[in-house]
Amino acid sequence: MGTQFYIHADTEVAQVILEYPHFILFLEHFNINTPLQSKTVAEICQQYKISEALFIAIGNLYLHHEVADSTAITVGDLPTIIQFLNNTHRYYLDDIYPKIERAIQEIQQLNDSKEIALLERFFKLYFDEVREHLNYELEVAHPYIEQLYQTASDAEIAPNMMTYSVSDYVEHHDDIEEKLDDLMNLLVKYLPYQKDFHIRRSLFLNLVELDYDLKIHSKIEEQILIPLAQNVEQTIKRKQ
Amino acid sequence: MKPDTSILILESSSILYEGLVQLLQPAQHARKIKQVFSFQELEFGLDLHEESVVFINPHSVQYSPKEFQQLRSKYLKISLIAFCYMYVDPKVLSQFDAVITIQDSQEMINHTVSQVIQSKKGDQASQNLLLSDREIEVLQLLAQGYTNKQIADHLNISVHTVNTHRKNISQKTGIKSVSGLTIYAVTNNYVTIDQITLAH
Repeated sequence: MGTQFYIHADTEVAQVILEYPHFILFLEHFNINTPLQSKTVAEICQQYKISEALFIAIGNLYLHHEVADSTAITVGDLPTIIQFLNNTHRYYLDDIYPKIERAIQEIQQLNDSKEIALLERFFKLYFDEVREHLNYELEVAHPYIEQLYQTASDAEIAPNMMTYSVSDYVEHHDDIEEKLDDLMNLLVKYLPYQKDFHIRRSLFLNLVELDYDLKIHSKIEEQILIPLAQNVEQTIKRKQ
Repeated sequence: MKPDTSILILESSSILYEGLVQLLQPAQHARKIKQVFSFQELEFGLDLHEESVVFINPHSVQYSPKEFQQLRSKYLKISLIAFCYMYVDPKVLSQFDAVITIQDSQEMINHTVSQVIQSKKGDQASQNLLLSDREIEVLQLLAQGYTNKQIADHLNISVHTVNTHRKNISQKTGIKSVSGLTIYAVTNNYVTIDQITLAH
Protein backbone atom coordinates (compact mmCIF):
# COMPACT_ATOMS: atom_id res chain seq x y z
CA MET A 1 0.00 0.00 0.00
CA GLY A 2 3.02 2.32 0.25
CA THR A 3 2.08 5.66 1.73
CA GLN A 4 -1.54 5.53 0.58
CA PHE A 5 -3.60 5.23 3.71
CA TYR A 6 -6.93 6.61 2.64
CA ILE A 7 -9.33 4.54 0.61
CA HIS A 8 -10.30 6.00 -2.74
CA ALA A 9 -12.65 4.94 -5.50
CA ASP A 10 -9.79 3.25 -7.33
CA THR A 11 -8.27 1.47 -4.31
CA GLU A 12 -8.04 -2.29 -4.69
CA VAL A 13 -10.22 -3.76 -1.95
CA ALA A 14 -8.32 -7.03 -1.46
CA GLN A 15 -5.10 -5.09 -0.90
CA VAL A 16 -6.73 -3.13 1.90
CA ILE A 17 -7.63 -6.35 3.73
CA LEU A 18 -4.13 -7.71 3.39
CA GLU A 19 -2.76 -4.51 4.87
CA TYR A 20 -5.49 -3.99 7.50
CA PRO A 21 -6.99 -7.37 8.47
CA HIS A 22 -9.80 -5.80 10.55
CA PHE A 23 -11.18 -4.49 7.28
CA ILE A 24 -12.56 -7.93 6.48
CA LEU A 25 -15.23 -7.38 9.11
CA PHE A 26 -16.23 -4.16 7.40
CA LEU A 27 -16.92 -6.07 4.16
CA GLU A 28 -18.89 -8.66 6.10
CA HIS A 29 -21.10 -5.92 7.56
CA PHE A 30 -21.84 -4.81 3.99
CA ASN A 31 -22.71 -8.40 2.98
CA ILE A 32 -19.85 -8.44 0.50
CA ASN A 33 -19.31 -12.15 0.15
CA THR A 34 -17.86 -12.95 -3.24
CA PRO A 35 -14.17 -13.29 -4.12
CA LEU A 36 -12.72 -9.80 -4.43
CA GLN A 37 -10.22 -10.59 -7.19
CA SER A 38 -8.61 -7.28 -8.07
CA LYS A 39 -11.77 -5.23 -7.90
CA THR A 40 -11.60 -1.61 -6.88
CA VAL A 41 -13.81 0.19 -4.41
CA ALA A 42 -15.81 1.67 -7.29
CA GLU A 43 -16.41 -1.76 -8.83
CA ILE A 44 -17.43 -3.36 -5.56
CA CYS A 45 -19.76 -0.47 -4.79
CA GLN A 46 -21.40 -0.81 -8.16
CA GLN A 47 -21.75 -4.58 -7.81
CA TYR A 48 -23.34 -4.33 -4.37
CA LYS A 49 -25.21 -1.06 -4.97
CA ILE A 50 -23.51 0.84 -2.17
CA SER A 51 -22.76 4.53 -2.53
CA GLU A 52 -19.05 5.15 -2.89
CA ALA A 53 -19.11 8.05 -0.46
CA LEU A 54 -20.58 5.84 2.25
CA PHE A 55 -18.21 2.96 1.56
CA ILE A 56 -15.21 5.27 1.69
CA ALA A 57 -16.37 7.17 4.79
CA ILE A 58 -16.96 4.04 6.88
CA GLY A 59 -14.02 2.22 5.30
CA ASN A 60 -11.59 4.90 6.39
CA LEU A 61 -12.91 4.63 9.94
CA TYR A 62 -11.81 1.00 9.80
CA LEU A 63 -8.32 2.12 8.85
CA HIS A 64 -7.84 3.98 12.12
CA HIS A 65 -9.13 7.32 10.96
CA GLU A 66 -10.76 9.23 13.74
CA VAL A 67 -13.27 11.28 11.84
CA ALA A 68 -15.51 10.13 9.01
CA ASP A 69 -15.81 12.33 5.95
CA SER A 70 -19.59 12.41 5.84
CA THR A 71 -19.94 15.38 3.50
CA ALA A 72 -21.00 13.34 0.45
CA ILE A 73 -23.32 10.98 2.31
CA THR A 74 -26.99 11.60 1.54
CA VAL A 75 -30.39 10.70 2.94
CA GLY A 76 -30.59 8.02 0.25
CA ASP A 77 -27.82 6.16 2.09
CA LEU A 78 -29.89 5.76 5.25
CA PRO A 79 -31.28 2.28 4.46
CA THR A 80 -27.78 0.99 3.67
CA ILE A 81 -26.41 2.46 6.90
CA ILE A 82 -29.18 0.82 8.92
CA GLN A 83 -28.57 -2.45 7.11
CA PHE A 84 -24.87 -2.19 7.88
CA LEU A 85 -25.52 -1.51 11.57
CA ASN A 86 -28.04 -4.33 11.81
CA ASN A 87 -25.46 -6.69 10.35
CA THR A 88 -22.99 -5.42 12.92
CA HIS A 89 -25.50 -6.23 15.64
CA ARG A 90 -25.93 -9.70 14.29
CA TYR A 91 -22.17 -10.16 14.41
CA TYR A 92 -22.14 -9.06 18.05
CA LEU A 93 -25.10 -11.10 19.22
CA ASP A 94 -24.68 -14.28 17.18
CA ASP A 95 -20.96 -14.46 16.66
CA ILE A 96 -18.42 -12.64 18.79
CA TYR A 97 -20.21 -12.38 22.15
CA PRO A 98 -21.14 -16.09 22.17
CA LYS A 99 -17.51 -16.88 21.27
CA ILE A 100 -16.34 -14.83 24.23
CA GLU A 101 -18.90 -16.50 26.45
CA ARG A 102 -17.68 -19.95 25.39
CA ALA A 103 -14.06 -19.00 25.94
CA ILE A 104 -14.83 -17.84 29.48
CA GLN A 105 -16.63 -21.10 30.16
CA GLU A 106 -13.63 -23.04 28.89
CA ILE A 107 -11.37 -21.00 31.11
CA GLN A 108 -13.58 -21.83 34.04
CA GLN A 109 -13.06 -25.52 33.41
CA LEU A 110 -9.29 -25.06 33.52
CA ASN A 111 -9.15 -22.48 36.27
CA ASP A 112 -11.23 -22.93 39.38
CA SER A 113 -10.19 -19.72 41.14
CA LYS A 114 -12.89 -17.55 42.66
CA GLU A 115 -11.84 -14.66 40.44
CA ILE A 116 -12.67 -16.54 37.27
CA ALA A 117 -16.06 -17.51 38.68
CA LEU A 118 -16.65 -13.81 39.28
CA LEU A 119 -15.45 -12.97 35.80
CA GLU A 120 -18.06 -15.29 34.38
CA ARG A 121 -20.78 -13.53 36.36
CA PHE A 122 -19.40 -10.16 35.36
CA PHE A 123 -19.58 -11.14 31.72
CA LYS A 124 -23.11 -12.52 32.03
CA LEU A 125 -24.41 -9.28 33.49
CA TYR A 126 -22.49 -7.31 30.91
CA PHE A 127 -23.82 -9.41 28.03
CA ASP A 128 -27.36 -8.85 29.32
CA GLU A 129 -26.74 -5.11 29.20
CA VAL A 130 -25.33 -5.34 25.70
CA ARG A 131 -28.30 -7.38 24.51
CA GLU A 132 -30.71 -4.86 25.95
CA HIS A 133 -28.90 -2.00 24.25
CA LEU A 134 -28.63 -3.71 20.88
CA ASN A 135 -32.23 -4.89 20.95
CA TYR A 136 -33.35 -1.38 21.71
CA GLU A 137 -31.55 -0.13 18.62
CA LEU A 138 -32.83 -2.99 16.52
CA GLU A 139 -36.45 -2.73 17.66
CA VAL A 140 -36.95 0.94 18.43
CA ALA A 141 -34.30 3.30 17.11
CA HIS A 142 -33.54 1.78 13.72
CA PRO A 143 -37.17 1.18 12.69
CA TYR A 144 -37.89 4.77 13.63
CA ILE A 145 -35.10 6.04 11.41
CA GLU A 146 -36.30 3.79 8.58
CA GLN A 147 -39.73 5.27 8.98
CA LEU A 148 -38.22 8.75 8.86
CA TYR A 149 -36.59 7.81 5.60
CA GLN A 150 -39.86 6.48 4.15
CA THR A 151 -41.69 9.63 5.16
CA ALA A 152 -39.02 11.86 3.65
CA SER A 153 -38.92 10.02 0.35
CA ASP A 154 -42.65 9.49 -0.09
CA ALA A 155 -44.87 12.55 0.05
CA GLU A 156 -48.02 10.48 0.60
CA ILE A 157 -47.05 9.09 3.96
CA ALA A 158 -48.25 11.42 6.68
CA PRO A 159 -45.57 12.42 9.13
CA ASN A 160 -47.34 11.24 12.25
CA MET A 161 -44.74 9.35 14.22
CA MET A 162 -43.29 12.19 16.18
CA THR A 163 -43.73 10.64 19.60
CA TYR A 164 -40.17 9.34 19.32
CA SER A 165 -37.17 11.44 18.32
CA VAL A 166 -33.54 11.00 17.39
CA SER A 167 -32.61 12.86 20.57
CA ASP A 168 -34.07 9.94 22.56
CA TYR A 169 -31.68 7.74 20.66
CA VAL A 170 -28.75 9.96 21.54
CA GLU A 171 -29.69 9.77 25.22
CA HIS A 172 -30.09 6.03 25.17
CA HIS A 173 -26.84 5.65 23.31
CA ASP A 174 -24.90 4.62 26.38
CA ASP A 175 -21.45 3.26 26.52
CA ILE A 176 -20.90 -0.48 26.42
CA GLU A 177 -17.22 -0.07 25.76
CA GLU A 178 -16.22 0.70 29.34
CA LYS A 179 -16.88 -2.77 30.70
CA LEU A 180 -15.17 -4.37 27.76
CA ASP A 181 -12.13 -2.30 28.64
CA ASP A 182 -12.37 -3.49 32.22
CA LEU A 183 -12.57 -7.08 31.05
CA MET A 184 -9.38 -6.69 29.05
CA ASN A 185 -7.60 -4.99 31.93
CA LEU A 186 -8.65 -7.64 34.44
CA LEU A 187 -7.55 -10.41 32.12
CA VAL A 188 -4.14 -8.98 31.36
CA LYS A 189 -3.24 -7.39 34.67
CA TYR A 190 -4.91 -9.12 37.56
CA LEU A 191 -6.61 -12.48 37.15
CA PRO A 192 -4.51 -15.45 38.30
CA TYR A 193 -3.47 -18.10 35.79
CA GLN A 194 -3.89 -21.82 36.20
CA LYS A 195 -4.06 -24.19 33.24
CA ASP A 196 -5.91 -21.66 31.09
CA PHE A 197 -2.92 -19.98 29.50
CA HIS A 198 -3.69 -20.71 25.83
CA ILE A 199 -7.40 -20.23 25.90
CA ARG A 200 -6.88 -16.85 27.53
CA ARG A 201 -4.94 -15.73 24.52
CA SER A 202 -7.79 -16.59 22.19
CA LEU A 203 -10.29 -14.92 24.53
CA PHE A 204 -8.15 -11.81 24.59
CA LEU A 205 -7.87 -11.69 20.80
CA ASN A 206 -11.65 -12.04 20.52
CA LEU A 207 -12.02 -9.09 22.89
CA VAL A 208 -9.61 -7.08 20.78
CA GLU A 209 -11.63 -7.82 17.65
CA LEU A 210 -14.85 -6.84 19.37
CA ASP A 211 -13.37 -3.72 20.92
CA TYR A 212 -12.13 -2.58 17.53
CA ASP A 213 -15.51 -3.01 15.91
CA LEU A 214 -17.50 -1.50 18.78
CA LYS A 215 -15.46 1.70 18.72
CA ILE A 216 -16.11 2.14 15.01
CA HIS A 217 -19.74 1.22 15.48
CA SER A 218 -20.19 4.14 17.88
CA LYS A 219 -18.40 6.46 15.50
CA ILE A 220 -20.73 5.47 12.65
CA GLU A 221 -23.73 6.16 14.84
CA GLU A 222 -22.42 9.43 16.24
CA GLN A 223 -20.80 10.89 13.15
CA ILE A 224 -22.93 9.56 10.32
CA LEU A 225 -26.29 8.08 11.34
CA ILE A 226 -27.46 10.49 14.03
CA PRO A 227 -26.63 13.75 12.20
CA LEU A 228 -28.26 12.42 9.02
CA ALA A 229 -31.40 11.26 10.83
CA GLN A 230 -31.62 14.55 12.68
CA ASN A 231 -31.53 16.40 9.36
CA VAL A 232 -34.39 14.35 7.99
CA GLU A 233 -36.33 14.81 11.19
CA GLN A 234 -35.92 18.58 11.00
CA THR A 235 -37.06 18.66 7.39
CA ILE A 236 -40.18 16.64 8.16
CA LYS A 237 -41.02 18.73 11.19
CA ARG A 238 -40.83 21.89 9.12
CA LYS A 239 -43.33 20.40 6.66
CA GLN A 240 -45.86 19.63 9.38
CA MET B 1 15.46 14.12 33.62
CA LYS B 2 18.01 11.37 33.20
CA PRO B 3 21.20 12.56 31.49
CA ASP B 4 20.92 9.95 28.74
CA THR B 5 17.50 11.19 27.61
CA SER B 6 17.45 12.62 24.14
CA ILE B 7 15.33 14.96 22.09
CA LEU B 8 14.38 13.83 18.60
CA ILE B 9 12.96 16.27 16.09
CA LEU B 10 11.09 14.93 13.07
CA GLU B 11 11.32 17.98 10.83
CA SER B 12 12.89 18.07 7.42
CA SER B 13 13.37 21.84 7.24
CA SER B 14 16.83 22.83 8.46
CA ILE B 15 15.72 26.36 9.26
CA LEU B 16 13.00 25.15 11.57
CA TYR B 17 15.17 22.45 13.10
CA GLU B 18 18.12 24.75 13.80
CA GLY B 19 15.78 27.42 15.13
CA LEU B 20 14.17 25.05 17.58
CA VAL B 21 17.57 23.72 18.70
CA GLN B 22 18.79 27.26 19.37
CA LEU B 23 15.81 27.87 21.64
CA LEU B 24 16.04 24.55 23.45
CA GLN B 25 19.75 24.23 24.01
CA PRO B 26 20.29 26.66 26.88
CA ALA B 27 17.64 24.96 29.00
CA GLN B 28 19.53 21.67 29.10
CA HIS B 29 16.54 19.37 28.98
CA ALA B 30 18.60 16.66 27.43
CA ARG B 31 22.11 15.74 26.54
CA LYS B 32 21.43 15.01 22.95
CA ILE B 33 19.29 16.64 20.26
CA LYS B 34 18.95 14.96 16.91
CA GLN B 35 17.14 15.70 13.67
CA VAL B 36 15.36 12.80 11.97
CA PHE B 37 13.66 12.75 8.59
CA SER B 38 11.28 9.79 8.70
CA PHE B 39 9.24 7.71 11.13
CA GLN B 40 11.61 4.86 10.43
CA GLU B 41 14.62 6.88 11.48
CA LEU B 42 12.68 8.11 14.48
CA GLU B 43 11.95 4.55 15.61
CA PHE B 44 15.59 3.70 15.24
CA GLY B 45 16.49 6.57 17.56
CA LEU B 46 13.80 5.54 20.05
CA ASP B 47 15.08 1.98 20.15
CA LEU B 48 18.32 3.42 21.49
CA HIS B 49 16.79 5.94 23.91
CA GLU B 50 13.42 4.93 25.18
CA GLU B 51 12.71 7.96 27.32
CA SER B 52 12.88 10.57 24.62
CA VAL B 53 11.08 13.79 23.96
CA VAL B 54 9.93 13.82 20.35
CA PHE B 55 8.94 16.86 18.34
CA ILE B 56 6.82 16.11 15.31
CA ASN B 57 5.36 18.34 12.68
CA PRO B 58 1.68 17.30 12.99
CA HIS B 59 1.23 17.48 9.24
CA SER B 60 3.36 14.41 8.88
CA VAL B 61 0.90 12.66 11.21
CA GLN B 62 -1.98 13.39 8.88
CA TYR B 63 -0.14 11.60 6.11
CA SER B 64 1.16 8.72 8.22
CA PRO B 65 -1.51 8.05 10.87
CA LYS B 66 -0.57 4.41 11.11
CA GLU B 67 3.07 5.10 11.82
CA PHE B 68 2.06 7.63 14.42
CA GLN B 69 -0.31 5.23 16.17
CA GLN B 70 2.38 2.63 16.18
CA LEU B 71 4.77 5.09 17.77
CA ARG B 72 2.26 5.73 20.54
CA SER B 73 1.63 2.09 21.27
CA LYS B 74 5.20 0.89 20.91
CA TYR B 75 7.05 3.51 22.93
CA LEU B 76 5.21 4.14 26.16
CA LYS B 77 7.86 6.30 27.75
CA ILE B 78 8.16 8.97 25.09
CA SER B 79 6.68 12.45 25.26
CA LEU B 80 5.24 13.70 22.00
CA ILE B 81 5.17 17.41 21.27
CA ALA B 82 3.49 18.82 18.19
CA PHE B 83 5.61 21.43 16.43
CA CYS B 84 3.14 23.59 14.51
CA TYR B 85 3.62 26.32 12.02
CA MET B 86 0.21 26.34 10.41
CA TYR B 87 -3.35 25.35 11.19
CA VAL B 88 -3.74 21.73 12.27
CA ASP B 89 -6.91 19.74 12.90
CA PRO B 90 -7.51 19.72 16.70
CA LYS B 91 -8.28 15.99 16.45
CA VAL B 92 -4.70 15.44 15.39
CA LEU B 93 -3.31 17.74 18.06
CA SER B 94 -5.25 15.97 20.81
CA GLN B 95 -3.07 12.92 20.27
CA PHE B 96 0.02 14.79 21.43
CA ASP B 97 1.17 15.37 24.99
CA ALA B 98 1.78 19.05 24.27
CA VAL B 99 1.81 21.60 21.47
CA ILE B 100 4.24 24.37 20.60
CA THR B 101 3.91 26.80 17.72
CA ILE B 102 6.50 28.98 15.98
CA GLN B 103 4.86 31.99 17.65
CA ASP B 104 5.81 30.74 21.12
CA SER B 105 8.57 32.52 23.04
CA GLN B 106 11.71 30.68 24.13
CA GLU B 107 10.47 30.76 27.71
CA MET B 108 7.13 29.24 26.75
CA ILE B 109 8.71 26.49 24.70
CA ASN B 110 11.07 25.45 27.46
CA HIS B 111 8.29 25.63 30.01
CA THR B 112 6.16 23.30 27.86
CA VAL B 113 9.01 20.84 27.48
CA SER B 114 9.73 20.75 31.24
CA GLN B 115 6.03 20.31 31.98
CA VAL B 116 5.72 17.40 29.59
CA ILE B 117 8.75 15.66 31.06
CA GLN B 118 7.47 16.16 34.60
CA SER B 119 3.97 14.89 33.88
CA LYS B 120 5.35 11.82 32.12
CA LYS B 121 7.30 11.00 35.27
CA GLY B 122 4.16 11.57 37.31
CA ASP B 123 2.17 9.20 35.11
CA GLN B 124 4.67 6.45 35.54
CA ALA B 125 4.89 6.99 39.29
CA SER B 126 1.14 6.86 39.85
CA GLN B 127 0.77 3.68 37.85
CA ASN B 128 3.27 1.93 40.05
CA LEU B 129 1.72 3.13 43.28
CA LEU B 130 -0.51 0.83 45.23
CA LEU B 131 -3.82 2.14 46.44
CA SER B 132 -3.72 4.36 49.51
CA ASP B 133 -5.43 3.22 52.71
CA ARG B 134 -8.33 5.57 52.08
CA GLU B 135 -8.72 4.37 48.51
CA ILE B 136 -8.81 0.78 49.73
CA GLU B 137 -11.59 1.70 52.18
CA VAL B 138 -13.59 3.31 49.38
CA LEU B 139 -13.00 0.30 47.13
CA GLN B 140 -14.14 -2.13 49.85
CA LEU B 141 -17.40 -0.27 50.36
CA LEU B 142 -17.94 0.06 46.63
CA ALA B 143 -17.51 -3.69 46.22
CA GLN B 144 -20.10 -4.26 48.93
CA GLY B 145 -22.67 -2.31 46.98
CA TYR B 146 -22.52 1.05 48.78
CA THR B 147 -23.50 4.10 46.73
CA ASN B 148 -21.25 7.16 46.61
CA LYS B 149 -23.53 8.91 49.08
CA GLN B 150 -23.45 5.98 51.49
CA ILE B 151 -19.66 5.78 51.24
CA ALA B 152 -19.42 9.50 51.98
CA ASP B 153 -21.64 9.14 55.07
CA HIS B 154 -19.83 6.05 56.25
CA LEU B 155 -16.36 7.58 56.00
CA ASN B 156 -17.46 11.07 57.02
CA ILE B 157 -16.21 12.67 53.82
CA SER B 158 -17.98 14.57 51.03
CA VAL B 159 -19.41 12.89 47.92
CA HIS B 160 -16.99 15.00 45.94
CA THR B 161 -14.06 13.44 47.81
CA VAL B 162 -15.50 9.97 47.20
CA ASN B 163 -15.57 10.75 43.48
CA THR B 164 -11.96 11.92 43.58
CA HIS B 165 -10.95 8.67 45.27
CA ARG B 166 -12.87 6.67 42.70
CA LYS B 167 -11.19 8.52 39.87
CA ASN B 168 -7.77 7.80 41.34
CA ILE B 169 -8.62 4.15 41.92
CA SER B 170 -9.66 3.77 38.29
CA GLN B 171 -6.57 5.58 37.09
CA LYS B 172 -4.28 3.33 39.12
CA THR B 173 -6.02 0.05 38.31
CA GLY B 174 -7.21 0.75 34.75
CA ILE B 175 -10.70 -0.42 35.74
CA LYS B 176 -13.71 1.88 35.70
CA SER B 177 -16.95 -0.03 36.29
CA VAL B 178 -18.05 -0.93 39.81
CA SER B 179 -18.39 -4.60 38.94
CA GLY B 180 -14.93 -4.64 37.40
CA LEU B 181 -13.51 -2.98 40.50
CA THR B 182 -15.29 -5.55 42.64
CA ILE B 183 -13.41 -8.35 40.90
CA TYR B 184 -10.20 -6.40 41.38
CA ALA B 185 -11.00 -6.06 45.10
CA VAL B 186 -11.55 -9.81 45.42
CA THR B 187 -8.36 -10.58 43.49
CA ASN B 188 -6.39 -8.44 45.93
CA ASN B 189 -8.19 -9.81 49.00
CA TYR B 190 -9.63 -6.43 49.95
CA VAL B 191 -13.02 -8.12 50.31
CA THR B 192 -14.15 -11.72 50.55
CA ILE B 193 -16.36 -13.25 47.95
CA ASP B 194 -19.42 -13.41 50.21
CA GLN B 195 -19.20 -9.72 51.06
CA ILE B 196 -19.77 -8.54 47.53
CA THR B 197 -22.61 -7.76 45.16
CA LEU B 198 -22.03 -7.85 41.43
CA ALA B 199 -25.25 -6.35 40.20
CA HIS B 200 -24.01 -3.08 38.72
